[in-house]
Amino acid sequence: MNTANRVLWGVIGALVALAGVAGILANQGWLPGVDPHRLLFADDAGATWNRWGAWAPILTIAAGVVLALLGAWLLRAELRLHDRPGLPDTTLPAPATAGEAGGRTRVDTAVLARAMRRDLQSDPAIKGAHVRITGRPEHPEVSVRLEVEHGTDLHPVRGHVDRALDRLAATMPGAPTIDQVLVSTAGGRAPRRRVL
Amino acid sequence: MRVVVNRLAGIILALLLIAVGLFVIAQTVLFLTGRSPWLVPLESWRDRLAGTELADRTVLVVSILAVVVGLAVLLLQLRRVTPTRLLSQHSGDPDAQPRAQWWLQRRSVERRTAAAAQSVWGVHDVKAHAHGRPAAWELAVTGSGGDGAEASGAVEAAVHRELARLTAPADVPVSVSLRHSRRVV
Repeated sequence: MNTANRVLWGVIGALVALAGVAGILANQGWLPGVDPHRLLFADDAGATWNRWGAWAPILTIAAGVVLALLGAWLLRAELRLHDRPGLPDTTLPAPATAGEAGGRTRVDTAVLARAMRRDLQSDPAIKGAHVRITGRPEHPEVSVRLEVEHGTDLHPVRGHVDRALDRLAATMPGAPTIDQVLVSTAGGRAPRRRVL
Repeated sequence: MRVVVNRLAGIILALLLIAVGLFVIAQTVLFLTGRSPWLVPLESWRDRLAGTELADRTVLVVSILAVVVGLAVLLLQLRRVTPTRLLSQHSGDPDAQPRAQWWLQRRSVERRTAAAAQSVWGVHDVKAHAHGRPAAWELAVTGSGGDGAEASGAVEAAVHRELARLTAPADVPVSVSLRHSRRVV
C-alpha cells in the first residue's frame, strides 16, 4: 500500500499542478482556443442539461455512485494492515486407505502461525516473533518478524528459522516457503559508554 | 513519516470521495423532486460562477495556489527518504528458497554498528547512519576520539565484523570519520 499511496499522491500532485498551469494560461489568454472572457459556468449549461433529458439526472446520480464506491474502495485499501490476504483455513481430505473410516482434517492457519511463533521463540536469542501465513493452500508463504537480543549473531538464527519452517511443513498440506523475514534488535538506544 | 502522512491523507480523500458522491446523489434527487438544495446554497454558487470570467483575478490566484500545492505534493513523493528496512545477505543456498528475503531494521543496524564502533578503545559519541536504497545501502559512521588512521581502521574492522554478524551483504560500503578529541578516556 505504501508504494501505491506514493504513486497515488504523486499523480494527484501532478494533476493539480497541471490544472493550475492550465488555469494560469487560460487566465492570461495564452491557451489557444480558449477565450479568456469565457464564464466559469456557461450560460447555456441549463440548456445542455435540458437537452440531455432524463439522461442528465441518471448520469449525475451514476457519477455520484461511482465516486462514493471509489471512496469506499480506497478507504478499505487504506485501512487494510497487510498488502496480502492471510491464508484461509484449509481442509485436508483423508487418505483413501482401505478398511479405515474416512474423514476430513481442517487446518486452522492461525493455530499453525502461533505454533511456529512459539517454535521460533524457543531459541533464547529470539525475544519475540510474529508469524503470518499467506499465499495459496498448495503453496503457503510465511512472513516472519523477529526481535533478537542485542549483539545476536544472525547466522545461527537463520538456521533456526529454516528448521522451524521444516517443522511447520510437516503440519501443512502444501510445502511452505519463507516469503520474507524482518529482523530487529531489542532495546531502545545504543548502550552508551560511560566516560569518566 | 511519509508513509503515515500518505495513509492519513488517503483516508481523508476516501471519506471526501464518499461524502461528495452521496452529496451529488442527494442533490440530484432533491432537484428531481423540485425541492431546494440541501446544506449548501448551490444556486448562489452557480450565479457567482456564472458571473466570473476566466480572466478574473480569482482564477489566477487559485491557479497559482494549485501549481504550488501540486508541485509540493509531487516533490514530497519523489524525495528519497531513508529506508526503514535494509536488505540483508541472501541465504546460503540460493536454490532452496529463491524468493526468501531477509530484512534488517535500519535502526537496529545503526544501533549495533554504533555500539561495535564504540567498543574500540578511545572512541566515543559514535553515530551510525544507514542510507541509500533498501537493496543497495551504505553506512556512515561518525564519532569522536581515537588517533588518526589506526583508530579509523579499527572502527571500520569492528563495524564490518558486526555487519557480518548481522548477515548484511559483504559489499556494504562503510565510511568512517572520527573527529579528534582531546578528552581523555
